[in-house]
Amino acid sequence: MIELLQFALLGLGAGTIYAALGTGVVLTYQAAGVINISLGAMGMYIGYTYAFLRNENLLVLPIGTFSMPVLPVWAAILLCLAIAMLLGLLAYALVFRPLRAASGLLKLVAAVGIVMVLQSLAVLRFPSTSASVPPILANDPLHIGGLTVPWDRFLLAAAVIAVAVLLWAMTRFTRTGLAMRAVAEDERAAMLLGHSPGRLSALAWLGSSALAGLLGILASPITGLDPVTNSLFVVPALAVAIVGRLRSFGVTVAAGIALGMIQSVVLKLQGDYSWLPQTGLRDVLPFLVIVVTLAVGGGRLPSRGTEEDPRLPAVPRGGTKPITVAATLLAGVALILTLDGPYRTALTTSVVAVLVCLGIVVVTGMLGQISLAQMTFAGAAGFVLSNLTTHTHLPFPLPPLIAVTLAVLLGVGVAVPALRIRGVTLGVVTLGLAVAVSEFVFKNPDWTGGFGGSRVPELRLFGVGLGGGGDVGFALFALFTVTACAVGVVWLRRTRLGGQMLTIRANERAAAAAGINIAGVKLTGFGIAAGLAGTAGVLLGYQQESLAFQNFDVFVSLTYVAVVYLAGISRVSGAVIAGLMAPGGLVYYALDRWLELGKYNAIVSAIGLLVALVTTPGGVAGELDRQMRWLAGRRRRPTVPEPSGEQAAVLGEETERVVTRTT
Amino acid sequence: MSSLALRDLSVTFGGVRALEGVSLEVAEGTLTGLIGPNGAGKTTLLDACTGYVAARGEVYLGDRRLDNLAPYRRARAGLVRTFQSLDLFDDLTVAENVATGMPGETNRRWWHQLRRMPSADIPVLHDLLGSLGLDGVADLLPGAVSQGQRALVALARALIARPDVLLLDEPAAGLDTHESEELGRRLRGVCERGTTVLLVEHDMGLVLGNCDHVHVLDGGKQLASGTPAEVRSDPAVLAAYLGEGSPS
Repeated sequence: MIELLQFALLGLGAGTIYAALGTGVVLTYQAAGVINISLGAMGMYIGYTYAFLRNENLLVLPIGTFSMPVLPVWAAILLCLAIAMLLGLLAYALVFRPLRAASGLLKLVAAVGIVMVLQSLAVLRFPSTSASVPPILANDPLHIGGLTVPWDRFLLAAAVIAVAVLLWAMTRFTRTGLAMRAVAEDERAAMLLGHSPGRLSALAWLGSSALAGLLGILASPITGLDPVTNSLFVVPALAVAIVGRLRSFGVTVAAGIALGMIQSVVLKLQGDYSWLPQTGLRDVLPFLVIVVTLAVGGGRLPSRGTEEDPRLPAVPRGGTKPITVAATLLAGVALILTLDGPYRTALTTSVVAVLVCLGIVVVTGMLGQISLAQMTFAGAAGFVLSNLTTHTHLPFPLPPLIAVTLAVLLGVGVAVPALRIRGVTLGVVTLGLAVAVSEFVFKNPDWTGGFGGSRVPELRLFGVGLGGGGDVGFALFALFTVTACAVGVVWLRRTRLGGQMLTIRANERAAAAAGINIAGVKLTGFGIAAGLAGTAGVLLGYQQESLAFQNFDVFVSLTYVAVVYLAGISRVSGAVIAGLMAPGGLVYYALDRWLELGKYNAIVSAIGLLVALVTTPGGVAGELDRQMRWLAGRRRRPTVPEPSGEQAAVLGEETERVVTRTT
Repeated sequence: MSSLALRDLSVTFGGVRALEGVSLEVAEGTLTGLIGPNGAGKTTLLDACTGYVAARGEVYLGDRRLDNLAPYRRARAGLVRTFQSLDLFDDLTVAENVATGMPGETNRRWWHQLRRMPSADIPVLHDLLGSLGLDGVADLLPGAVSQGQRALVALARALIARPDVLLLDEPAAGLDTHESEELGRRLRGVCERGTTVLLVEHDMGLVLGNCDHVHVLDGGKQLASGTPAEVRSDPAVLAAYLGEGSPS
């Protein structure tokens, strides 16, 4: 018992991080309406900055490195916090201010872009050799009763509780705090009363970045530093922020500290009882916390009364013509036959990526729901395929079919929370699920290959080996499979089911009034999307002949959502463009080779993503489409004076877009 | 064709009692009005009937009890409503918007859902759009047509379901006097073709001029009920609308 208590107290360290990041999440959500998933990455980046400042006396900025005299600890911390605030302010000014009226999904995607920038910056600027942070807080062992706990855990907890009390006092007793609460309630009304939501958002970005940075510095002696692991601290932080209903600093901090302590106790129990799963048990907790809170809390989080336009990019009229599909397929075959070596491999990667993106087009573009767990479905199918093909002797079509079926079932299961919650909150739930499955299942060496990877034998059709990687046979197989799926999605858009999906995307209560079974259509849509992702996971397995958990990491899912959004999330053509642009895909690889970006590739694409999001919120495919119609309109105008029905529809769409942009 | 009956319907929001034990009947084949000052609970009553808010009490469509069904099941059972804010589907054309409400669109076996969406040229849809003067805008998006036309699209989407009872939430909001009169004639026509209509409305002219029967709500309770002439001269109604004790 006393041992459990000791572990619980050791968990104060992690708990404090969750509490602080959770507080930052609540702050940016209240003041700026952004679910800021970049706070973990911000803490990580500032932790690195501090480590280099202390260990090497080097001030490493995103651009430029300066030699510094030996600084006292407090000065080094202040300098790093100043950098954190500057970065937060830049993120606000350059990205979130231009996007202030955008949908919650677009802001979430932009936050993903910030995570990608910070992660690639960390990899680029900080060689991992001297990334251990010297302890700052006194960590002499403290003996209470029979317990031995390092001092720093208590100091950390005290610091975070103090910050939370300060923030609470500020929102209660100051004019700025009152304005912040007013803005969270009703942005328009607060604006009319003379409050500037912009100034408050900027303040929130400053404050939450500084808080994340401070914890990154103070806690990294306990947690260590790693670009990916530390960025993921934001997932438990989101969980506790949801417990605080994205509103209460006190509840968030208490929940954060409690979660950290429980995780630590679970770790101890895991060691004591060998029958407990030995990996990832503690990482499942945040997901359970989110689900239970939403279930108990009635599934309704307070929505912000924002000025934002909740709508997704418009769905194209008309639809894809058979000639377009045929031309794309022919171009694909021609490319497969002409390209060779790594280019063909990149093309095959693109083809598989199109399938993941198609799933996102169905679930978000058509159904209007946010799923950040698409690669989890792909991974589930991939690992099942690996197990079935290596441990059983089932003939060919069976293993992939069983794998995809399981992915569909998993997708339907994930849709159950989507029956009660929607929007960005649903995104947070799926994000929690993605992390939980990744840590609990994908990293479990009993079920997958663990760090060594899971083998998938070569795909053989009618006794002919298709090869993998960049082989022509497999590339063609993948191309035809993906084309069939894409045609299926084009067709789905034209069916009654597709129409019902669009009605749910547009307006759930009106859809119910029209007699549409919302639960049924949602479950079906999630199932279809998971099936597409699962098929992609199967293809990925055959292509790589080996799968590892890194293939299905939550950041891979996030990257795909970002790329599809950028390419055009409401269209099938958007999925095709996204597949080409996806990491490792053809355009990505070609640009890398031609521009010789090398190690700068990651940061350039991350910044490119942000620039494109800010300048082209409707997506590349939508922009292309508009340009084509504009050209067509110009060509036709002299001969056809009256706009045809289709053109009039375009005009309507156009006016609508102008209207939504100006308001 | 059926009647709608509510028994002891109550709705509370936190500590606020939005509807307190309202029982009322909408007789088969009538055009019935529901009026009341702002905050009287009119829209809450519609929400409670159609399952959009949790309510205590019973809702009957003819002999069938509906109050334990999900909203979409009540719609399929023949109790169809519109919304004050119209709530059109922005990404579907006018024709597609209306088509979503077609009976047989939603309640068939699942494989029917994989057939193509109906287009504007199927007769029943074409006729309805034509009779409402929407045939010229059938292929436009709702964002591209006028407010009056949008209101008609919402009405058409409810009508095409051939409901037994149609609940309309302020269909005349945003219409001018002429359009409102036109709407009144259309609603009488709807009634004559066999649909029972409950009309929630602020436009007194529309209600008192066209309805067979009028219910008055105030403060979540039923205040009065009767023919337009009776309601017009009811002292309680006058007090609620004009203030206590005002001479009339």
